[in-house]
Amino acid sequence: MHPLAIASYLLLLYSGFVNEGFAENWTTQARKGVLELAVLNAIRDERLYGYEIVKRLRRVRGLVISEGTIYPIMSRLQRERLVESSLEPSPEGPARKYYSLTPVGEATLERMNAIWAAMTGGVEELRGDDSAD
Amino acid sequence: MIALTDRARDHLERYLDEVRRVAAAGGDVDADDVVAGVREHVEAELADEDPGAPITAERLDQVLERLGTPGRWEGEPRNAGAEAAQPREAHTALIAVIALGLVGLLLATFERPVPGIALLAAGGAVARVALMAGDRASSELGELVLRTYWTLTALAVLVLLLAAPAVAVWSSAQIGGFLDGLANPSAPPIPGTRDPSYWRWITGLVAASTAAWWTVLGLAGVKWRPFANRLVGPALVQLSAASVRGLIACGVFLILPSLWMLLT
Repeated sequence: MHPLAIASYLLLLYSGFVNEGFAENWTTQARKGVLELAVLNAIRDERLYGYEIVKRLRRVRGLVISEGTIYPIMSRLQRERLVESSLEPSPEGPARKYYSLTPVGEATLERMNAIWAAMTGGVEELRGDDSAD
Repeated sequence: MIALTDRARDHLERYLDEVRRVAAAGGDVDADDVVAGVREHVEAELADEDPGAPITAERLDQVLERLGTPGRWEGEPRNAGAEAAQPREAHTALIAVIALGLVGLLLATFERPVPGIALLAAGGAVARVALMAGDRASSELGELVLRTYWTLTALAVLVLLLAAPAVAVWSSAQIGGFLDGLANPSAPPIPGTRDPSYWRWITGLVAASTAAWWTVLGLAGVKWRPFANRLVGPALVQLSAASVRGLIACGVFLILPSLWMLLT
């Protein structure tokens, strides 16, 4: 990166145009909730094992910073009975744990997707209003 | 099962130990389940590598880097709930550790070594309890408690090891003077702490205790490394195979001179 670009960024940062701490915290909080939604959607139509889920989520830019984050989420989703798992043999090595939605998970995901659509639609509307001003 | 070099396997096991610790601290996930998931991920990602050559530590580290530091996983419930439950007992324990440590340090360094060392040991026990409380709610606080304990103990050992020769040299001069004055029956007796053999005994005791602790910890680490990591305080350091061997070697090396100091 050009030194002038770095200097401009630092100037913006320290002159108050970017509140880096707030933005970073907001991104982290937003990512936490969205990640669970994304994981549930990834296994909505097919059973996947952990690494396959991670590969799917890699396609969503900026969603997964630390790929290991997925595994506590999968454990918690199982504990909440939204997801179930089964071990299946793999030709490439040890058995793999495949995850799929439970009926409760399907119903919960449907509701989450509806809330997500309403929220993002609403925020987009607000952003549209802002840009119109 | 993928083939790993010894160094890579060591890296992987240390990483999985850390995953287990963080997951267990969260409380609302199954730590074994999370560890199994991460292990499967690593094996799946490395399964396409050349089966003839074992995976090197450098290649493994690339995968582990993408998995990220377990303590910073954003979905980790421990981070989300940490602020909600600050354990009062851990705060109290911190004060207790500092108090016990300071009093123990003073006693161990000067007139009363045995109760001083006992107080330092009590500080260690309190630190462990506090860390267990911290594991459930705030590992940062537990880490602070344990770090305080280790610092005070290290200070006590350092002061004893440095003070012993200095006092011994100084008191030798006193003894010399005393010996010269043996003919004079009115010469004052040498107080206990000015006697070189007293300091020799204290130094030997501290060194022997340290050596025994290192050896026991190292031997525990050979067979039950996660348990040994919990003993040493996983918030501070994760024992590797090399550090376990190092602990045993240092322990055995230190125990010989310390026994010699104690017994001769």
